[in-house]
Amino acid sequence: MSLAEDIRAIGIQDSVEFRGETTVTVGLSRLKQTLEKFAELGYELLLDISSVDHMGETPRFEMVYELATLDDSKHVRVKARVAEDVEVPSAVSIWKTANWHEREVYDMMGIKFKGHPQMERILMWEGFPHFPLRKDFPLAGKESEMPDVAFSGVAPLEGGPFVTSPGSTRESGEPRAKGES
Amino acid sequence: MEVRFLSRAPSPRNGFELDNFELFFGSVDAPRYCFNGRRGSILFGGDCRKTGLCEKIHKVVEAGAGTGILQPEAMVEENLTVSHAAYDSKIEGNIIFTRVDAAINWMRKNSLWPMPMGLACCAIELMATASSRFDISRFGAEVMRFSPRQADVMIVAGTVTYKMALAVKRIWDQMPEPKWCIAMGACASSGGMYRSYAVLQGIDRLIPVDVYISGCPPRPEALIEGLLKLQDKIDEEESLMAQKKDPVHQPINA
Repeated sequence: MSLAEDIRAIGIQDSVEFRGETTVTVGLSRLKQTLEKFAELGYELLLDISSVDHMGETPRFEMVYELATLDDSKHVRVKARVAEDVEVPSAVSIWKTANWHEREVYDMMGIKFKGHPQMERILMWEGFPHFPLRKDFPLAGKESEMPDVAFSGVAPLEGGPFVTSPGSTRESGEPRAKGES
Repeated sequence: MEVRFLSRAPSPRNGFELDNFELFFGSVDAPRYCFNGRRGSILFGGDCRKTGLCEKIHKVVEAGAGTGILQPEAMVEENLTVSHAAYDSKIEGNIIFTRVDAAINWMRKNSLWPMPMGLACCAIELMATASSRFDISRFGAEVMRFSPRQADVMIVAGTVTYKMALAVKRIWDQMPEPKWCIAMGACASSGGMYRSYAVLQGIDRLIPVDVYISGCPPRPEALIEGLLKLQDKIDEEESLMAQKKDPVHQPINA
């Protein structure tokens, strides 16, 4: 079956294709069911789980799942919008690899997952009070203090953050402070 | 072995001030060799008994210490030579002068055992420096110790994240005095290009750093240069005074 046929078999009416990549968007209530059906249709590989912060919009967050078949012939992206303080059903029961991906999403964005076996931070330390990838978290960071565990501070950002300049030559595109490049 | 400490005074540019002579191995009357105050320079010559040098030293000591100056001309008369030679068997029966500090520092700086705090790509360069092509054993620093209790110098090689920061601090605290720290590369020195919520903006916010090495990552030659700079720094230290002092605990300036 082709990807379009798979999508129709699952019962999703519309999908978006952009530069050869297919994206389907579902409501949060249908998310788990959709993922399960894709898994049954042979999408056995969960490539990635990520999240997007659309600050200012409602619902604020968006979950993004990248699925593929083992022979890499089909690739589909599943998206679902998530409001703040709403739990997303965990995909660990479908793909074991979802475990760490979901912990990373929780660590960086603060989206919790229902049914996850170990809903803890994975990169930052347990007790870190912020979610660093949210749009309202400053790039320089915030101060925090966990005695005997870790602390964090604010990085100086004079001259702007260190970034690469896309579309330039390799030499001029090297990471530099924005104000100095 | 007789050890004799004399008073200390600033030594003049020329000549060898006898009050800087601090150690006599052998007896004062017939020293096998002594340590004197000129850093790095080791004075040796004919047998002390024959040259009568030890008598001169002894006279100065008897006279109340601290003022006699042996001019270089006198050394020529005595058929003495000044050389940067290290100890060798030819010196047996002759005389060496140096300061206790110089002797201690010389021993310390040429046997620095590093604690390789490899945290990122700088650690690869650190490994290259330790390996055959660059070979820091030429400078006495090849004994990498993964136990902080046996290490002299911590080489912080790489990005120190906040999550790792207190672990680095703990390992530093476990190292015995005297200890030194080399911040290798941009990240360890200042956070480098990681002006970020997750990265400590320089390991000097947690532990005192002796030598900063620029580069991202630095070439092995740069690390060796840093090691030599650290050796120069150790050479200037007042080791004897420092041993009498309690270690000063600096407050953490996080």
